[in-house]
Amino acid sequence: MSSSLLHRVASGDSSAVRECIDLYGGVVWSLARRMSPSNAEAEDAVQEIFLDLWRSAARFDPGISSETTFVAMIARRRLLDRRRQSRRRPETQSLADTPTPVEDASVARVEASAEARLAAGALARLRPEQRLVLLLSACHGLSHEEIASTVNMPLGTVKAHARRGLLRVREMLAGGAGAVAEGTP
Amino acid sequence: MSRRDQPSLDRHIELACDRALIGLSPAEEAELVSLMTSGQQVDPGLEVAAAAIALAESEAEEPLPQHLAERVLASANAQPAAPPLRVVRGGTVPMLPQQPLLPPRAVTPPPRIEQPQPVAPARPSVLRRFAPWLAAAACFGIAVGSFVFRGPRDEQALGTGDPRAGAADRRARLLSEAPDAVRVAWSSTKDPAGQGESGDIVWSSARQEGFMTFRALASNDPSKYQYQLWIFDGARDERYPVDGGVFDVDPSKGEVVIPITARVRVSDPRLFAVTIEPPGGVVVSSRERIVVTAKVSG
Repeated sequence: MSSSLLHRVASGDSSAVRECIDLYGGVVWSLARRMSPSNAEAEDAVQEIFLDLWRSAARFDPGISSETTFVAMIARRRLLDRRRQSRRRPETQSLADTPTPVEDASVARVEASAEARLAAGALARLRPEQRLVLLLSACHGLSHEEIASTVNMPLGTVKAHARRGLLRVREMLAGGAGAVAEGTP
Repeated sequence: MSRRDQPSLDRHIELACDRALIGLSPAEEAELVSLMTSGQQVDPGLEVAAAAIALAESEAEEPLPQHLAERVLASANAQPAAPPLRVVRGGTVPMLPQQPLLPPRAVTPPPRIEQPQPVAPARPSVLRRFAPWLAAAACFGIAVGSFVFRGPRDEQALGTGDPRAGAADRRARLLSEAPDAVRVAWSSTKDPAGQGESGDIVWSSARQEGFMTFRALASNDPSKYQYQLWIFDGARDERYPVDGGVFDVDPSKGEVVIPITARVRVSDPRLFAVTIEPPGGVVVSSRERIVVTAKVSG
């Protein structure tokens, strides 16, 4: 049922809209809280994200990702856009307010989304500094410069960690998806 | 892959990763596009991976606050008959959350744009890819390709107190400063609303900025219908054109220059089309009334 929810939204099923908000509201709110400087900004972001979601629902392809991951992709795009726009404003957010990821959270948690489970496994295999950079980038949307400043690491190292880490996770997801498709646990 | 190509490939991967993790600036996005071969798309697996990491690292989900859930639901269920919000006279109606998203009536089905043939090589023919839209326009006697450009006069402010002055200047600046800017004349269909239209559309993918110029588009009553721009992007699924914004026009005072408000990035515009839609616009167009189109050559 869950896999067809966005397609129902795209086809104009108004009940699917309510279901979608109920089902994914928590995911969107959590991401928005984490990547927004304030609750007010997070609330604005949530409304924009759902707007994007309604408009993108028809593009959901279960062959590429799960529905939860698709929602997270839409949410991240909007949140990254908002961060980019806010960086262009004169006032800047203090990095001291930037939340620091809990290192072991990714290892301990089990997510409903298959991709999230695989990603957690992949993250656990990264070197601690690489994992930290990747989490600050993927989960909090910090720029490379912000990460370098926050963790006191050379910019080039930050970039290398982020990119290599992402490629590793991407490889593992591709392998995992294949395994799942073949029924391999 | 020759050794000489390796730096380009490295840069491509670098930009693709950055795009998935932190987003790209318009200049970086343009650079990424320039490094891609025709028809190539950015690996969606990278963005999936970034999203999966974000989900994996999430703490226990906090439920969406009730008041916020209600606000989201209310905006989705807004009545189409309600006065369109954020109407910017002489400009556009940005697709903001307060706009009706899912009118009570069923959302119009997606335009029946056929999938390109699987054997299609890189950059399939524009005519073939967008054949249904063009065919629909042709039914109305479209005359694609005619191009008459006259420099825009001052931007027209519709209604009272329009603060959005300078669109004509920004358009001119875009044309002179953006090397990638494309300018295509509108082609009218037989729809009466677009008869005699001789304006054009200007778009720069590098700057993600563009303007529509209209000289003869029929005035619309925003409470009855509005115009909506659709952009067919070669980098996206052609079945789902990018919404370029909802807008109103009153050409009685002369030429109108309207900024484009594409809500998502447009990398490779192939075809622009203006349709008539219910107030507030639609998620997908039934393309019952295509008023003007502009096909990007090449």
